[in-house]
Amino acid sequence: MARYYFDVQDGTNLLRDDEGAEFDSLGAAIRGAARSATEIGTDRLARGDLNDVVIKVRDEHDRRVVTVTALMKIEQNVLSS
Amino acid sequence: MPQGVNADHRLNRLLAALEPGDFAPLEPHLELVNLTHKQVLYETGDPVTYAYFPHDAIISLVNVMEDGGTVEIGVFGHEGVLGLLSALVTREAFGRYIVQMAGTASRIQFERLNEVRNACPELRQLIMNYGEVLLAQTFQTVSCNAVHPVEARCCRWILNMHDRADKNTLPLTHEFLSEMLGVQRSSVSVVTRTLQSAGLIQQSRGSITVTDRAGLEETACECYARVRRIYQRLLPGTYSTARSR
Repeated sequence: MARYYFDVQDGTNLLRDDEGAEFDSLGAAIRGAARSATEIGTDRLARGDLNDVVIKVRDEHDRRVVTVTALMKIEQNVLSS
Repeated sequence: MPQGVNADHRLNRLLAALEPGDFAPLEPHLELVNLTHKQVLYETGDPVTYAYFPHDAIISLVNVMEDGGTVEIGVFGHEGVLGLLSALVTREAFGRYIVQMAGTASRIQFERLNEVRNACPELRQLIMNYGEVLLAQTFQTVSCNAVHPVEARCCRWILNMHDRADKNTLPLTHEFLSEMLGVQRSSVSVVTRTLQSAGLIQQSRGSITVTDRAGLEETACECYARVRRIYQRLLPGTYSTARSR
């Protein structure tokens, strides 16, 4: 078990995680961060908010260990009248 | 009566809705109990021996998934009773009953409650009405969890708790909220920051204070209001919202 901290960068705001949470492995922390990025992103993209959702994962030594990004993009290929 | 418990059985609105003559046969079997924060009344599969009528305590029924993840599937406060309708036949708890807000409750042995109910048509009717409300609340929650955004669900959840609490400051951590909503903790942090920026809630370590109830109702999905209407129709007087108190 190890504690990881998920800072969420959304647009220009950084929401720093000071509490963290325990995970069995780094892989489990990455899956948690990925789930969270999709949960946050799903609602936003549907509303037309195109700010990428970036989750920066830190370990107990305050080292950035992984960054998970949900890229938000809507590309219109045919112009509607 | 346990030491330090100073409450009245009829602080529970279901019990209060009974006429004195219908309440009288229940009263000798009711026992006042203190419930502490995070106390587990039943784990999944535990034999359900008592039904609890909460006063100011709030209890969540939480489903524990195989990977350890959790999601709230029911909530019980002074408007209801737990440990009765979802365990009628097997007498086994479907999930974990955990106290999310400390307080008092009246409890009664399952068999005693059944005996009195069988002899009292008014009590039977009241419990049937509550049963339909509880099922309606569950159906609405299933729909809500399937299609509504985390933000709206979070507002619904805070409102549900606010209705059952006697204060505006609720002891809630992001971790606990994430376990109730079945989402990741970071998702809750992002949502609650948005709600705080909009002036609807004020966060501090370990608690959330409701500062704009009307705003929360506007941000919640239709599910909160629909369930509230069903409560008010089937159990008039037992479900008063925080706004009207």
